[in-house]
Formats: sequence, structure tokens, C-alpha cells
Amino acid sequence: MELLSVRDLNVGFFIEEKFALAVRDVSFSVKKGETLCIVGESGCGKTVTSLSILRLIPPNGRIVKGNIHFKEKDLTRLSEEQMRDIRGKEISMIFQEPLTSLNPVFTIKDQIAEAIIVHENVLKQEITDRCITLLKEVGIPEPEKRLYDYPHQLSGGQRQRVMIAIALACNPSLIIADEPTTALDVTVQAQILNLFKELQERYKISLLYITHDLSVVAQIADKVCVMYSGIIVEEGSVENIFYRPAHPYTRGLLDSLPKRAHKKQKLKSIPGVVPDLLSRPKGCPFYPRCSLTKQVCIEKIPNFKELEDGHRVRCHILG
Amino acid sequence: MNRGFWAIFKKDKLGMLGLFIFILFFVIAILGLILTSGRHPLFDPSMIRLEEKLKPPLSHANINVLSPEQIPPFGIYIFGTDELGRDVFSRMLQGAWVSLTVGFVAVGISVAIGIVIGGIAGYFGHYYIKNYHMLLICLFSLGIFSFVKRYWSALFCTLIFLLLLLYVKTKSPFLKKGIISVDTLITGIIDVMLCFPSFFLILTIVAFIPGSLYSIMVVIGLTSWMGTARFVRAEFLSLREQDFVLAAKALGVSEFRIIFRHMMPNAIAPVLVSATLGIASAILTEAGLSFLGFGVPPPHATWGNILADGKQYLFDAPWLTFAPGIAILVVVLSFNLFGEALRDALNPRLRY
Repeated sequence: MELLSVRDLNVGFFIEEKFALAVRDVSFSVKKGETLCIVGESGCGKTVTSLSILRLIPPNGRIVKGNIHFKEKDLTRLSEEQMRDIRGKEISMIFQEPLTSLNPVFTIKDQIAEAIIVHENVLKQEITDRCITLLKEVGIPEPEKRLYDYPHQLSGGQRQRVMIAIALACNPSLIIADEPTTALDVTVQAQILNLFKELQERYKISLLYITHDLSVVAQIADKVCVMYSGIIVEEGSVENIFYRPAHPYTRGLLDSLPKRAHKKQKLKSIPGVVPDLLSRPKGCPFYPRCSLTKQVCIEKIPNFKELEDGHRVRCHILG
Repeated sequence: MNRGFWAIFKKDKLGMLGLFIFILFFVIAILGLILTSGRHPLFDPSMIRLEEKLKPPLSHANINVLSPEQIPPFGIYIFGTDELGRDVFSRMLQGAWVSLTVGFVAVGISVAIGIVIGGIAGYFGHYYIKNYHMLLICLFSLGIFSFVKRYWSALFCTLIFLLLLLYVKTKSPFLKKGIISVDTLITGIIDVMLCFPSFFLILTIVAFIPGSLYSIMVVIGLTSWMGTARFVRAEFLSLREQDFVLAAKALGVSEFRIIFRHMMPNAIAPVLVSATLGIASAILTEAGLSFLGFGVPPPHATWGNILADGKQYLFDAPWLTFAPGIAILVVVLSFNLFGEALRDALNPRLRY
């Protein structure tokens, strides 16, 4: 049973009077209690994908094609009011920068309460109690005191915990986390990831986790989608992606991870940069940086090839 | 208010002084309102005593020449008398209420207009005014003009309407095309309003409408909202792009609630500060209008017209100008001090 399934999603933007597709034919699905990671470099359309699930793309963007099914509802067809009922209650989102995502003039309690007030009719005392339980849940010490702090009085890790508490406030069935640990240091990152896992086990929440960090993926994901330049180039289970990567881009990403064992070696990287939104190559978007490029790659975008169960790759040469 | 606001405010000695002086003046103004009104007020501001012209402050009334009801309370002219022998202290008391309410009502009006217009420009500024909006506006004003029988203006509207319609016939996607964005329109209006020297604009308007206390307040309010509007627009432009606005949207908060509950508290601090300064300048504007004789009509005293009457006797009876002048100075100064303390106390980053 799929909780969220995205089919052939195409999202475009008007940039300088031109229309460019930032996300092309993206399809994926998340089951109940499962974690899907979307991996890719900056500017490859990860954030746009996640924002378009909640229909929060900036005003110059459009969902051109495709549908997003969530619990038998097509999110692309819902009215703005119906969408508002889903946001925060059924699907909540956690952003990259916890300091700027929290309103600086409100206390922690006000911010958590906001999520509850918007979606439910509850008494004031009950709200305070729920805020305290939520803060305990996400592992903030002395929640009764912290309740009346302002965001700038908390540390980065605590702020992100508060963001998670806000996301959990209405018991959503899906949480979209857009690089939630990027602004944190590694030890705090590990704590936050453990918190995600714990909460997921306890509440059977599905998680759509967006990151550029493969070490995070290895810790948290069940399934992985690798995105490049607006398309999904490879998808599969964590084992498949890490042990049997098929697409040259995935291989490149794995190779460029720093390894402790090879201290003396120079860190590998993929040459070149992600193509600009307005000047994308016609064929496979990765061919300018690929070492295996052939004529067919320049001419057309490859289709998915099924390798094993659930492991699919978009490449003309490999797979 | 928020927790800690008062604790921070208390530490600012000058701000506390400003607040204290302001409260004092407010109490005096309310007392003055009670003591100077009615048939036989305790302090009668319009009692004329031609025998006691231009008496200096703290001089005793000459009981022998005055009839019993002409004698001021305690037999003393606290601030002296003016050229008609009226007690300046009583007149100051009567004027205090006008000066303070002018500040509040005028600034209240200007802040309300400024927040709404600035908020629209800042938050909805990127929307375009489409041609069919223009057609609707034309139709609407056509209706209004024919209703109030301004047929030339109605004809003008019809003309524009027909021209637009003709243009629609030639180009089909015209209706959906935007002409100017909301932001451009509003900033344009603000700039035009700012181009008028506002004091003279007020003078012109006051020359046309009957000068009463309330029309002056409204006119000052209607001609001084531009600063607030610009403030709010600039704040909203930067706040709109902040992550917490997106986060609030992702929580399912409605647009209205985002504007007024999430964005406004972030934008309100500079607005409040400029409002306190605005109160000071509204008091000055009212005083200036009264000074020029355009303000509140004569028998009623205001600080401005006491000042104006006194200017002819500047060397013979300086207390006529000093008393209202110092009162205005002290109130304006206390408001500025209060405003600055407010700005510091409203900054959540200074809280602990």
C-alpha cells in the first residue's frame, strides 16, 4: 500500500520570459513507515520536487504535468483550502536552516502551538501539555523551561529538534525533510538522524528525506532516488545503490566520498558542474561529465532499464 | 505584551522618564477636559477680564475690580494672562486635550492606512493589474459618476472603457495581460503623495472643509501615512522571502494569518517607533496650523493658537509664547524618548 506516489511529475519555471523544466518525469512512491531518500547535487531539482508535493513552489513555477497521489487524493487537483488542511496535518515539512525557519519574535511554545491551533480545536492548557510532551519526545532537556525561550536562545541542534516537534505536532503520516542536517555538525547530525529513526519506529511515519550527503543516506534510507538535472537517473534499495551502483553519476558520487582507509589519496570528484536550467543538453543530461559518452547519449534522454527487483537506471551504456 | 518586554523597558531610564512625563500630561489633559468644560467651569478659559491684560505669571488677581465669577481659582494667574485678560493656565489646560488627541488620532489613522497599503504592496506586490481589472474599474467609476451626476467625468470613463474594448477586439490575449504590478502602482502613489509639501496640502484641504477638531485630525492622518507605508512595504518585501514564512505555509497557515500573525510582529517594531515620532510631528503640525489660524476655530484654545496669539507680545509678555512652546517641546521630547526605548524593548534579540 503506497502512501505517496508521484507519477511523471514535471515542474517548470518562468525565468527571464523563458519557461524551463526544473523537474522532468519524476516518479517515485513512499510506503507507510518507509524512508525514501532523494540524493543529488545542488540545483538538481530535489527541493522543487519536495515543495511541489505540498504545492508550495514559488509563484513563477507551475506543475506542468503529472500527478501526486496521497491517500487516494490527487494533490495536484485539490483546491487551495483542501491543500491547507493537508499541509502540517497529513504532510509536514522540515527545512534546512532551523534558525531562519523559526519565527524570531515568537517563543518555542507559540510556534509549536501554531501548528496545533491551525488544525485542531483544543483548550489552552491542553496545548501547553502537548507542547511539553512534544519537546520531551524530540529529546529537549527541561522542556517546561525551554517552552518560553526564543529561537535565538537555543543551539542549532535544539532548534532542529524544535522544528521536528512542530512537524510532529499534528501526527502527520508523512514528513518531508529537506536537508535537515546540512546546517549541523556531524555529531549533532547523528543524534538528529537517530531521533528520526526512533520517531519513525514509534509512530510508523513515512519519511521523504532530501539530502546531498551519501553518508546520511546510508544511515537512514530504505529506498534511494538519485536525481541529476531534474530527472531521476537511478533508483533502488540502499543495498543496490551502495553495493551495485549502475549509473555513472551514482558511481561518481560514491567515489567522491572521503574514505578513512585511503588517507594519502587525493579526493576524487566528478569533473564539471550541473548544467544551468536554461542551457541543458538535449540528450542524457549527464553526458558532458560522463566518461562513457557515446553518440546515442548526446541525441536522446535514456529510458529506465529494470536491473533487478526495484532497481532501475536511466543509462544507454550501462545497466 | 511578551514576557520580558517590561523588564527591558524598565532599564531604560530616559524611556521611563518619557513614559512618565507622557502619562502625566495625559492625566493633566483629562483633568483639563473636566475642569474647563461646563457652564461654570473651575478654570474658565474664555473668561475675559479687560482690566487684567497681560499679567505676568504667578501674579495675584486684583480682587477689587473683578466680579466674583471672574476671579481665577486661588486668586493667582499661574501662567499669567493674555491680551484679553484670559487665564493662560486655563487655556493651556483646555488645549492639552486637543494637542494630545490630535497626535493619537492622526497617527492612528496614518498607521492604519500605512500598514494596509504597505502590506499589500509588500506581500501582493508581484501580482499584476490585468486589463480586465481596468475595465471593471472604468465601469465602476462610470456608475459612481453617473450616480452623483458628474456627467463629464462619466463620459470620460465611457471613452476609456470603449477604447480599451476596441483594443481588446484587435488583440485576443490582451485581457489577461498585466499592465503594471501592484507594487509599481502603490509605490507610484506613495511617491506622488510624498512630492506634495504636506503642510501646504493640509492647508489647502483645510481651506475647503470646515475647520473642526476632528477634520484636522483626519486630514493630518490622511496626509502622513506614506512613511509608514514605505516602512511596512520594505519590511514585508524582505520578510516574504524568509524561511519562516515558507515554513508557516508548509504548516497550512492561511495567507491572512501569515500576514497578520507571523509577519506583522516582525515588521511592527519600526512602525511603532515611527508612530511615536509621528505623534510628535502631528502635535507640531496641529500647532503650526493653529498658529497660522487654520486650525481648531477660535474660542477653543489649543497650544498652537495660544502661541499664535502670543507672538505679537513676544517682548512684552513672553510667557504667552513660552508656556505653550515649552509644553509642546516637553511632550514631543518625551514621546521621542519613549519611542526609542520602545524600539529597544521590542527587539527579541535583546531579551533575556
